[in-house]
Amino acid sequence: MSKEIVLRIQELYENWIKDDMTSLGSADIFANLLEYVKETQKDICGKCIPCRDGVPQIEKLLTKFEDGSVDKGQLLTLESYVQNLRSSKCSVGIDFGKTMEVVLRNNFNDFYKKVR
Amino acid sequence: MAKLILNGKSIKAQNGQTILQVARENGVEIPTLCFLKEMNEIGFCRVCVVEVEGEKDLVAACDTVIKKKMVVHTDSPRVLESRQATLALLAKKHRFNCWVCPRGDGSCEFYNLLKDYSVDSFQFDPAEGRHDFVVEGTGIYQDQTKCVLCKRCVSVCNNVATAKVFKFRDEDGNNPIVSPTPGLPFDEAGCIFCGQCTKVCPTGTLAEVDHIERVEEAIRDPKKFVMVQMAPAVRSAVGEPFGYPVGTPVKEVEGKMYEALRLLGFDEVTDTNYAADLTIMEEGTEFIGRVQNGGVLPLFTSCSPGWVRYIEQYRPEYLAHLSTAKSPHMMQGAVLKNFYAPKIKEIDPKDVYMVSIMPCTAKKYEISRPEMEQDGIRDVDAVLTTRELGRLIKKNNIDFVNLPDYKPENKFAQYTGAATIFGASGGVMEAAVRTVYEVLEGEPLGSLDLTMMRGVGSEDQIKEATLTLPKTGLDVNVAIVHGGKGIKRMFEILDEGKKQYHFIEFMGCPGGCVNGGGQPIVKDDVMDKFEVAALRASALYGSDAKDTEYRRSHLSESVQWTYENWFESAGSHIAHKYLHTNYSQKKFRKE
Repeated sequence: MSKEIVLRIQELYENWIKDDMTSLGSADIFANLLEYVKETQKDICGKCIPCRDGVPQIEKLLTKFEDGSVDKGQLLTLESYVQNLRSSKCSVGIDFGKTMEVVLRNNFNDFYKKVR
Repeated sequence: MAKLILNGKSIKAQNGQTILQVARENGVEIPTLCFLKEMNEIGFCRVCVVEVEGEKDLVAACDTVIKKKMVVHTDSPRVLESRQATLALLAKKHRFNCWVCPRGDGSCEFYNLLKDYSVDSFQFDPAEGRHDFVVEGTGIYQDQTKCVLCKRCVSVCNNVATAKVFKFRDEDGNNPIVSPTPGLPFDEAGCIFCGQCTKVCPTGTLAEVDHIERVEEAIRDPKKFVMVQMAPAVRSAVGEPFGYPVGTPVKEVEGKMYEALRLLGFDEVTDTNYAADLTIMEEGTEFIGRVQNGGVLPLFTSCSPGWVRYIEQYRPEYLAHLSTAKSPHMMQGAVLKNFYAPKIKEIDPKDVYMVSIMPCTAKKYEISRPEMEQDGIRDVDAVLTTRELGRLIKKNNIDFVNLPDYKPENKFAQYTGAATIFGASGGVMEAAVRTVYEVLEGEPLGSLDLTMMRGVGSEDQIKEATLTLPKTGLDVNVAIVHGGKGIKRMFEILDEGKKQYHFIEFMGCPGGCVNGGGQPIVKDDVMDKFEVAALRASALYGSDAKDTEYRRSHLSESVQWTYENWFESAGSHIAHKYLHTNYSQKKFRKE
């Protein structure tokens, strides 16, 4: 299950480069993203802050999105953590950040719905 | 040469430099957290990130080498936002109890960064420690609730102390930890307590074990007669927490320091410098004895407890070389408690409480050594570092800068210039040579300024000199070693066995006590540690040349009086009981 999701999300990213209309299916989007986070966490080396401390925070926020207990501030925080992954030391954090940027942009409605 | 554009300005820089180097040379400030020049340029903390045009990701300034025509922005909104987010993430894993933190005096680099980047508490509350325990030790401790995983202590322990106690343990990438051997206190993990890590820690994670509380308790106790002494190197830096520049002449602050100690409530102010002179008599006599009777040579000095711990743990096969003389402050404690108190003050030694002000964290460990007592009387009861003294003075609202000068009148605060220079690398040797030469040759040295023994510049931290004694017919080879690198190198030379030394001075910290682990913190990017050591040492040498009546230990009237009345002669049976000690191999486990 989880590997499929990783592959699907990576595929989504590659497709997005060609066509910026591609997006994740709205159903189960947060459950799928949480799986993706879990897969990423196995690769984290623990050296730089944006990735080591950022990814667990992103996970926490995604759980809240899944529950529906979020406000606008938390959406902004999520965005800032995701953007901050661009300053990671290696590609584990940077790639995760890039993918999350795409998801945030192309599935923004799914995130924003939870806030409204 | 390469041309690049930094914040809109065109500048020239040398190839191979990092963005951080270029920026600092051109007066552009880039904040850093984990960075330590030439030691820890690892790009872990991502606080120094900058934006390079054409790169989609932000890059760390400390480990990115410049390229031709690079366009760098160090303060774009994106960079500032990233720094703020990174700091907020770190703050989530840091326990904020700044008001009781040893670095709550404004020297916390992490606190200052949070302030500079306006990180508000709603961004990180509830802030909880990454790990919730403290690694104990008798000299230093590590509070894991405050660690920001910058790895500075790891690199300093590997490169400066060379004890390699700390490890960055990242088996679990989501929850790494920097610690000595898991489950063991510093005492059993190979630490020498030099305290160099406490000076580079950007937070209050690593700090000296607090003795302020027990000192305050003793001062409050009406039954206790509390005596205080301060080390030679303390006077080279005591003014720094109060705004005096590094290298302030001893004369400007010494009197204020005595007065501050009196105001703090100590019953008797004495000076370790007295015992430094005494140490020269004991150690010098031991050296002469070993030369004349064919004892074990070279003789190693034993004033630096960090060094003593190093040899006890790592090179126990050389223990016979170590001088049996105690370190000066232990001698002072033994003399004051066992002779001065009962014989002159008529106070039971049990009611005397001895406090040492030291530039050193290893001295805190040293007083807990089981050998350091006679007949149930501990030599010294508490050790405050120079930093702790600064904190204590500030806490008591004493206006240090405007204090009048005070000079204690008792015998145990009188000293010669030879004692003052103990605080600098080479000082113990210079003081010893001044006395040993005169004892053996019967006439004083031509010049008392042995400049070849001074300074801290040499790369491998070893200085050498040969002293010719024409009447005795002996060429004495001496060496001066400071810092872990020097110690390692010297043992390599000794293992080879090609060079014949007679007398070697060892100091655990690079630059000697003036750069000790308990001295006020000077940030690395403000001044290099060797420059700090050189400036503080120059204050001590200046005092030796100008301030004191005598410059040779054996001329100290107090020391002569002590031998006449209490110890008969240097190296006598009674002197051995109180002023000498013994050493043994110490076990440790590193993982």
